[in-house]
Amino acid sequence: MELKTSCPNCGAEITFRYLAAIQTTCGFCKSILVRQDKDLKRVGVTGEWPLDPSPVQLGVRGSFKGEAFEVVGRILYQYELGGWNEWHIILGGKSAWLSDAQLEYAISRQWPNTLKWPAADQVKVGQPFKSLEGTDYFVTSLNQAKYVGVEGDLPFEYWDKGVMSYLDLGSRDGKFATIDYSEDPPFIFLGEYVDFDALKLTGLREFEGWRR
Amino acid sequence: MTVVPKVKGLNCPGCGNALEIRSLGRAISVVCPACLRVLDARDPNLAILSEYAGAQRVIPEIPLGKRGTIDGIEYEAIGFQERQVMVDGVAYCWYEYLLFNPYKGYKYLVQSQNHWNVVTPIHAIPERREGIGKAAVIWNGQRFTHFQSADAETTYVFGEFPWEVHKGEKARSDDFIAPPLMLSSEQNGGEITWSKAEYRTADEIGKAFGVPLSSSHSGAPFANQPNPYIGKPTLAWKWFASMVLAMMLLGAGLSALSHTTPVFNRTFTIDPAKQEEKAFVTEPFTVKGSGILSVDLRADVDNNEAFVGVTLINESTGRAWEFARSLSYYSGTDEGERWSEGSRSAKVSLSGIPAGTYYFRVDSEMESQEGTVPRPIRYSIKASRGSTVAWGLFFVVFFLLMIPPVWYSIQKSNFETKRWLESDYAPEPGSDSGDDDE
Repeated sequence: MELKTSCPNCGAEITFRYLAAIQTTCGFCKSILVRQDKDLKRVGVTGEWPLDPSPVQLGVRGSFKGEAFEVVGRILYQYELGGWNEWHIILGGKSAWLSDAQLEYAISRQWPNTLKWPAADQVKVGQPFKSLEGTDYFVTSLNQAKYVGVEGDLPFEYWDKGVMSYLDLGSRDGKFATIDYSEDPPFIFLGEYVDFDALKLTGLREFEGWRR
Repeated sequence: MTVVPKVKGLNCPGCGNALEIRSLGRAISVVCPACLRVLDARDPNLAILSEYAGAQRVIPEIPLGKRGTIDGIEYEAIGFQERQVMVDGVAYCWYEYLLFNPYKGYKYLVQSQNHWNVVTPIHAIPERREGIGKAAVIWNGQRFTHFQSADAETTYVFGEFPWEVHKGEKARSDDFIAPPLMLSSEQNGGEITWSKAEYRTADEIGKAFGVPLSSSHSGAPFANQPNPYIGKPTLAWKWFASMVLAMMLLGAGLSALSHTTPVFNRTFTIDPAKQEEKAFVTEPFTVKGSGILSVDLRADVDNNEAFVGVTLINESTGRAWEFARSLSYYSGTDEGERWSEGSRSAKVSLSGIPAGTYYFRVDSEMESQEGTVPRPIRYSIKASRGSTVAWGLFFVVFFLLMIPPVWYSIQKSNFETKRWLESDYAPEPGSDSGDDDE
């Protein structure tokens, strides 16, 4: 089911792929639109991005552990090693994230943060965090990423960000956690690395000279 | 649907050489193949990040831009670097190719003295196990043994990379092996990254990329090179076991098939009280053909022992074959249980007895027991001619059959010894001399 409305800036048709979206963008004028009651309010513009080569794009479908998902939005960051996409997906009717960082793919979900999490500058690489959802994690890196832009439907308001500090955590069995300090208290995402082929993605971008 | 186009028409701002960006907007640094300046790939004008620092040129055996299929996935070689470690003042270098696929991501191809490894980043964090002996890590349920630690330095770099490249960049590496796999950790600043290497031969990589690659090595095995003798000793021992079994079955079959011809059979009684009966000769008998002559001796001893000396004598040549056996049989009841020991019979096989006429000379001695009167003993001697399996030959063949499994076991262990000579655990030269001058 899709919800259609129009862009308050340019009048172009806006289609929500995710009915519970708080924020979306206009595909025509690139306005960032936030839902306020029944109306859309223009809060900014995504502007022009440098060439971003993620093979994923809006509308891509796939499956994870037998559940189908669709890509409905994204947040693009720039970090040390280039572009990092957090694709917002609707997995089994719920909001989740498919990240593509250096073509390493992972699926995660936001975890309700009930912990008193230490500040980013008080955490050391290698520090263990025991038993988050039954898994023991270790801090693998403390990084910073620059917000580049947003596209499509997001489950929260997210725009006009600057540099964000985040922690990457890993486990013995290939799970990961990200602690995003751009909000207070920080957002926590728990997930696992996934094999590209296992996601059975359709509707991917094509690259000149390459077979899918 | 729009297709992401190739980036075209770039020129090095340093030397004007035409450049190709292959990783479709993912490159952070690109090194001009002509002048070796490091350029900022994110800048539309390709700003120069660093000048060529005068490294000696290395021509990669796989040209950049070449594609090859690894594990069913097509990759393009986009970057190349030479790295080295210093061990006791000697530089050991190797080459690393960066491979790219726009969907599947990056892999490395590492070439060290014509040994090749396909390297993939891993996400599950290996667990360190320290203790007695070499350190180890457990990953994915498998144990990897520490092989060596080194400080690797990048000495030469060209092509494109999704990170900022710097010549002279250093990283601390630790290698753990479980051939054909190797896990390596690289420590650069505070961050530790792990990768998994899988050993490949030059032939496999050469075929994958359609490039002839040199496959000669110095002879020393590579850290995670699979032992070519692995499984061979087990296989050879299985072969040995089946050969021995076959030989035994063959021997048993031959024994069963071989027919024997009785040539002599006589029973006689000797009264030990009569001195003249203790030694006597039998009547002559004829032995025909060739083969073994087996002689069965039996004495009806009961709670005593008889000593029988037998000489086989050729009537015409006088040649003699002599043997002696002691036959005993004891039995009784001890705490309500019956027991018995000894044997009333003995079998003797004589080989090399030519056809002819023979007789036996028999000489017997009884165990003398105090206070008892020795009673007469019944003896029997049977002789038969027949082909019996040569069990001596069996043992020779048995040991010959052991050569392959033993040889493979030695080869397998030699390979491991040579592998570990290249590790941090190699014995120091001269350390076995006891005193060290340094």
